[in-house]
Amino acid sequence: MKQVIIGSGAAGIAAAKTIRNINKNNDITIVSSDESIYSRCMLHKYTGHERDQTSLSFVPNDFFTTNNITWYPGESVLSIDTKNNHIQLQNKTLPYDNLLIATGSEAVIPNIGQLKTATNVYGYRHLTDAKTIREKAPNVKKILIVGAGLVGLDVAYALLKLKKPVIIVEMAPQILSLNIDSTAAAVYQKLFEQNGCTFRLNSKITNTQSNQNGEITHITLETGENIACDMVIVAAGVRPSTKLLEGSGIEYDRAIKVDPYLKTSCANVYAAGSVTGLGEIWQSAVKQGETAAKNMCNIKTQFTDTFTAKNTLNFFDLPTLSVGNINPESDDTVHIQTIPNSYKKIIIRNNIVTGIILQGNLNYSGIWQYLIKNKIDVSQLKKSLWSISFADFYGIDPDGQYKYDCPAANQK
Amino acid sequence: MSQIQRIMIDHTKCNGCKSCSLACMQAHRQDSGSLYDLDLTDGTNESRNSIQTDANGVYFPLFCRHCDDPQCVSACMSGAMTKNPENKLVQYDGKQCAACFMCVMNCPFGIIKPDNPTKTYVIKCDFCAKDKNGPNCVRACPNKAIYIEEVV
Repeated sequence: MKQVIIGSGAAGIAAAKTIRNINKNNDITIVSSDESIYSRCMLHKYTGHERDQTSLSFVPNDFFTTNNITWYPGESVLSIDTKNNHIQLQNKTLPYDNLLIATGSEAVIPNIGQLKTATNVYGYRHLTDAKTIREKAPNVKKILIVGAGLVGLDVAYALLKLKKPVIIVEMAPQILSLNIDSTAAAVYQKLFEQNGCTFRLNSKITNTQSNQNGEITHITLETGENIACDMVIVAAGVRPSTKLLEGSGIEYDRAIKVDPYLKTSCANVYAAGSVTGLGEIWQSAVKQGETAAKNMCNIKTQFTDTFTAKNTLNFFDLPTLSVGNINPESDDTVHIQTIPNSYKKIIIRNNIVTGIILQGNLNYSGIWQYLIKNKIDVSQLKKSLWSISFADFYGIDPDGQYKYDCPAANQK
Repeated sequence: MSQIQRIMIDHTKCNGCKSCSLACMQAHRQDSGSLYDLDLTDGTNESRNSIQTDANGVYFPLFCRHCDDPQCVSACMSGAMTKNPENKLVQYDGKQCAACFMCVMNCPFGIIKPDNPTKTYVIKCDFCAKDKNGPNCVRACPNKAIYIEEVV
């Protein structure tokens, strides 16, 4: 059986590993435009000189030999022929019995001024982006970042460590607006500002100015203000990488359409990771890769863990966790606890925790995702919300693995 | 399928003495010495396990299960958290860790946590890998509330 995987990110690697664990004899091939294996979530650590290229990898160095996987690094897939079951590379045609598309996403560069065409504008998605920015950083004077989300702040954090002046332009009235509330965001904003970062919140870019070399020298805000810069990094969201699907017959609109088994509209073609639009987070990509791999090995498995409203952040050694809906509605009960170096906020709707933010103290916080995801009624617990732990839901299987015993906990 | 070892728990035998937590702290302290000079206030000596109570004051030992399907591993974006295919332990490599704490959020039982003093690495049971006598917590339990068993 020839199992071919396009993409060597979280989903592609998880799929290859899973296929190999299920089947020792399958012929596994990975084709990736990336020339090395690296974790996208750590790119800023490369830019900030905290890690070299080797330590960006999330698999052991001998991964491909140990698992007997053929890898074509730095190869673009030119086309997918779903009628004859093969993919076309530059100098090679690869036949497949099953194909997995795990091509991830691309940075979106908005069509404003010369952002799309200027030579000093970068996305922040690939190692090539992180490398270029790291190489050019010593010679740039002022870096402008578009977007104060996780990616924008990650790269800002790295550049601040290199003592580069950074200005971040954000449309929302706060930073990290998709991840945390304004209270937790204000704490991070202050830390960034103390370390040399400037923010322009509530700000929209309407135009750019360039020099003769095609480099942006200023961006213009809606207010008419011009901000000088000699490098622009755009961290304003991503879109699934679907370019190679053109002409393949595989159905997609924004993302690839998949059924619950992660199969696409074409026979023997599967998709996993952010290219499916089912979740733009690491663990979701891994689980999709594992699920698709099982189906590629004829073990019928549905992808069920679609809960992705969860995130952790860690800047300046101040960690934060957010799960669920962080913006309360009018009928919700909001509990807040503020003590030095710790902010906690729990949102409750109809006796069920629907969202939580923990900043500073993440001790034993894993239970919250379970409670939120599974809509566990916490109203019957004769205990403060701030002191609940797995002890309140304790259950154990004969093989020693824990399980939640919620009805018992609620009856007490 | 291979046999693996797991620390089994009979919570009804736990009287909350926390000998397991002390033994864990002693086993993982950075300096050397005996239990009698273990600095309980030194955050680098944190215990990997904890004993928590429910609303009725009943004690429950909360120990890493080295789960069959470990959520901390699938959540790990750096390759620091891995499931060892031979002994089935969930192993943590502090040098590879990027301190994103996705593992902390995704442990359904809230067992693992960031280290208290620096918040730069994860406090996680290593089955006392360096000790040929195995997990110190188990040997310290006076009530056999925790014990090692081979599980399939």
